[in-house]
Amino acid sequence: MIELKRILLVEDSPNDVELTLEALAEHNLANDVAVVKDGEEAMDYLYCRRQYAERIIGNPAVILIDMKLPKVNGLEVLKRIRSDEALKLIPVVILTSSQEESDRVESYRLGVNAYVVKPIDFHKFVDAVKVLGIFWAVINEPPSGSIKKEL
Amino acid sequence: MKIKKRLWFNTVISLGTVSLILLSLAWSFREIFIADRHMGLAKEMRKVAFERILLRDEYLLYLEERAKTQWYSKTEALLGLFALADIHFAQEADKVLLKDARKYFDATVSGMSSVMEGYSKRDPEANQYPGFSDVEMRLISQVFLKAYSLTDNIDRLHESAQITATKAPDRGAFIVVIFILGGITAIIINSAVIRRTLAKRINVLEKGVELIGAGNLDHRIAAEGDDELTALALASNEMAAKLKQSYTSNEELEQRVIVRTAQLDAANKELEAFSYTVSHDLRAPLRHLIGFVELLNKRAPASPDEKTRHYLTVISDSATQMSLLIDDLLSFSRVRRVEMLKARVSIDKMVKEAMNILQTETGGRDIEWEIKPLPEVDGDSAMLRLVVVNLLSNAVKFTRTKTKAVIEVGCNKDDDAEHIFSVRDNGVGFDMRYNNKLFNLFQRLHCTEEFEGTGVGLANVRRIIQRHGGRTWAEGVLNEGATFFFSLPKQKEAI
Repeated sequence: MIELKRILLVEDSPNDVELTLEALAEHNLANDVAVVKDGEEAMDYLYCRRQYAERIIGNPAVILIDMKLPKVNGLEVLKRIRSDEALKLIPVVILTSSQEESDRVESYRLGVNAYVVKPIDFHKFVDAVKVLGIFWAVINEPPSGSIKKEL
Repeated sequence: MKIKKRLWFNTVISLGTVSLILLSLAWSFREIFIADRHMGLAKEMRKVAFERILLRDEYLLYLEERAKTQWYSKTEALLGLFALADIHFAQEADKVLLKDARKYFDATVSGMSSVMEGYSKRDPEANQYPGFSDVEMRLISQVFLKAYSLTDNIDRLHESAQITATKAPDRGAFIVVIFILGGITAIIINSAVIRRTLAKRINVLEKGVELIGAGNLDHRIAAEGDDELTALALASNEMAAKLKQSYTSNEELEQRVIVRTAQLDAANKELEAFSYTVSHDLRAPLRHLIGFVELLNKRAPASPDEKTRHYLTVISDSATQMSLLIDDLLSFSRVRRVEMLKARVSIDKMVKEAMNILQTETGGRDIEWEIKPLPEVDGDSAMLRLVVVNLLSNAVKFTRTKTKAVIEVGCNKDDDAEHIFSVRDNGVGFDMRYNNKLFNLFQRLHCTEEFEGTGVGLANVRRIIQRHGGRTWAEGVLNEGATFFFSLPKQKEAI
């Protein structure tokens, strides 16, 4: 029985959200994806507050964050997650267009688990998302407290 | 007065002293010479006077004519000597002696003449007693007395001359000593004056120059007097002023450099931000473009309309082309921005690595690689890798049309100053007319349909090689092949 764990996607561009969900859907990984559109909402989600007060309690198995977010950028969100006792163990993957070495280095320094550059080529993009999804949402065992869904 | 003049003085004084010494020596010799001559003259006169006396006595004794004649001739001779003595004896004392001697001489002459004439007038027949009368006897004794006085005076003349002859050398020596002492004193005084004037002022000058040399460019040396030291002091002051000027202008220049560097730094930072934005913000819409076209493609029916397919393909390819351009542009700007990290780099290893990377494109193709021995160079390894990959990938790309591609990589060993690398292929080559456009940014000699590319590769190569201090150039023949050269300066042996 394959368990599909929840993915939290933090992405501000609806186009990117659509592409990512489409890519996940192609491999049946899109069942349990929560989408928030900026850093603030991400923190709200993780702390189960405001519009997310009613959600099922439990941490996502992985948080996919885009670097470029309005208000609070991806690195800032990463920093906040890593500084909170309750959240800091959650795996975080940065998904971004930027190939800048400084961004990459800084991300690892702040404790990111993986840094993935979104390929321009759609097929490669789909492949990358598939690999990410299978690994983090299926194969990898997150630290305790994550929500699971049975396929 | 000028120091040179003072020193000249010493020379003049020395020469002067020597001349005076020589003069006084000459004068002494002259005096001695004259005194000798006087002595000679006096001796001669004495001799003649003496002979005259003998003859007189002989006459008085024997009363012979012969004695008389000879006495007269000696008298003539003495007269002649007197004439000479008159000329030569110049001193007052001598002249007085001479005058008196002459008086005595004249007296003897007149006396004897009277006696002689008186006797010769005597009648020989009278047979008088051959003696002299009382008068004659008195005359004769007068003559005797005068003759003694004459001789005496002559003796005294001789003596006087002798004294001069002996005294002259002594006096000469004395004068020489005086002159020597005088000369030495003058030189000593002159030198002491020089030393005193100089010592203090040289000290001031020395201290002043030391201060200026140590860095105090405001210090000015006091310039007194009007000689060479004054000129030196003034010149040193001027030099200090000029130095200060150039230092200030140096400082100004340095200040301007600092400002300009800050400006450049700011401009560079702006450029970095710009590149960062390009890297991020342009890519996202591109991805969306490509992604949604693909999604569109998936939704399209199995055998869709040719035109629709075509349009979608064009859109997709254009977007891909744009993304390549962005990547190349980004790497090109990185070449300009990033600092070079110098290290020993093995070009040979890089070529082998590049060949590996290109394996995916070259797999299945018949490519003959001729890699000649390649040296190590000093340079930025990331940048040089870019150069190697670019040139080799170009060679691979543009030989695609040939069934068998031959790619040769070599290095010219002959040059002392540079390594000259070359990548030669037997591909499509190029028209030498466009030779100087090859390395321009975005310049292509083919359209994308023939050969893909953005026209940034060679511009990158040129930029990188330029930053390493080398040159890039190429030669080609259409449809036969092309050779791309780049040079890197040979480093001198590492310190």
